[in-house]
Amino acid sequence: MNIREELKAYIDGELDRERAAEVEKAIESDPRLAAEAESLKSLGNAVREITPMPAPQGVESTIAAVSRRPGISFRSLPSSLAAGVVGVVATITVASLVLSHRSSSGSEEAAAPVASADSAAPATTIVNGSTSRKTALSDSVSGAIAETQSSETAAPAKPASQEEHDGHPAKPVQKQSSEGLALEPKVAHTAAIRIAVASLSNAEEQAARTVTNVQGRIAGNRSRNSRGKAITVTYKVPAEEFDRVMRSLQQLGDSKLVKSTAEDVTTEMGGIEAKLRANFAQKREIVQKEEERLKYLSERASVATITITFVPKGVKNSR
Amino acid sequence: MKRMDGYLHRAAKGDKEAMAQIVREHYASVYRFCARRIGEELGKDAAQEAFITAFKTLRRYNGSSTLLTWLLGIAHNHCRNMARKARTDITMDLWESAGASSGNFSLENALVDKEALRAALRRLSVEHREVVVLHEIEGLSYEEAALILAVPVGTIKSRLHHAFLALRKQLSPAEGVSA
Repeated sequence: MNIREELKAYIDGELDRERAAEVEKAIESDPRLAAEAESLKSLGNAVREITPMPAPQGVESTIAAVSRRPGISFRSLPSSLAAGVVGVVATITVASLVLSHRSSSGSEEAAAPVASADSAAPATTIVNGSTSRKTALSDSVSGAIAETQSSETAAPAKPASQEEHDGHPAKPVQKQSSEGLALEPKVAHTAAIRIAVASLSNAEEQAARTVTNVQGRIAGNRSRNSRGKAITVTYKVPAEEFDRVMRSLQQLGDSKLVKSTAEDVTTEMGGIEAKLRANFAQKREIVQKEEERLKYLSERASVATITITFVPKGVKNSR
Repeated sequence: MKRMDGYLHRAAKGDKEAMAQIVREHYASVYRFCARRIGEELGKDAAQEAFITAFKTLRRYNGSSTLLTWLLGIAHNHCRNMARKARTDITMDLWESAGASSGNFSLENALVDKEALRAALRRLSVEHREVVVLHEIEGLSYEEAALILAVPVGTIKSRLHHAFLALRKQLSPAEGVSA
């Protein structure tokens, strides 16, 4: 490279000391080169000056997103932990928030479906329901739907309902397992809220903060509808925080509870737990048998077998 | 492999507090890096994806570069992928027209309209715009820019030289700027 080609690197302080000294000497002796160096400095300053400095947005939702934990695999756990697995899964709550722009007349645009598998179906249903009411949009006002699902342990109070729309899911009753043991009641909640908000970004940030404050997280990917004017986010929060989080989310704007379900999963969980126990017991038996066989073969392989028959001298064909 | 700092080590093991600390410390830089390259909306998504990827692969971070440089390298890949999917051009919107006259600056004793500079920057090739953003705007060294773009340091040096040469040619065509 000639001196002129290294002027920029010289200005940026990216040349080694020896080469920088050479360039500096050349600049001192050549006014045209000195003018070029000044021009490059001026140009660099101007580029920085005209380049916008966007204000960061999305830090809280990113914290919520990175807080996702990997799912628990039943297969990876020993049989002694099988019963505990059911309890862990049952305390997880899922919530999704759909933000969509809304016209000043109050009509709403369909939002993008929720990305996470565990809540995609109900969210799509809601979205389809609002599609028929789609009209002209305004950028100044936004709408939102939040969908939540949860499983929680609740005190028995009244028979559980598969779906209730009053926002107050039924409490489960105490049930018995196939062995006649009392089962801890478990309820899976699903709720959907549409919230009209002034700013999608601010609302998403506040929602993320609410969720992370209770050790919740984003489940699945947030999605944006085709026009980019609605955001769908699915959250998971601890079951015991479900009601509190729902109240906070509904305060983000002009909210409408679209759906709220409470499914009593106690019986199904009890059945799965019993099946798991049976499977693990069966597998343990198979493993024990195979371990014994392995041990036997291993011993055979480690000890050579030699059979000798000693016979008195002079005796022929003695047995 | 260098020994990881305490909170990096904890974050690599899935400690949520440590992860949040890393996000809070570096999010602004990563977000701005992404927003300047693919716009604020896509940039927000790219920044989030970059942190998710980073925590999935944090164990592979060996400390040979700063954590921010490593994060920006991941963000760079997400920006490229998102730009490709959205069929947009990296840094396309960065120097959009500011509308009415937005002032002048002096270039070789001549006053140059900043609007002309924006137009000149938009006309640079993607490779040249990338190095201009990384070095001039993000303030990264040639070595750091080289790590992010996975090219030799000499390539960064050459691209910056040619990028500024192109800018000067466009802004001072009568000067006959030579390489």
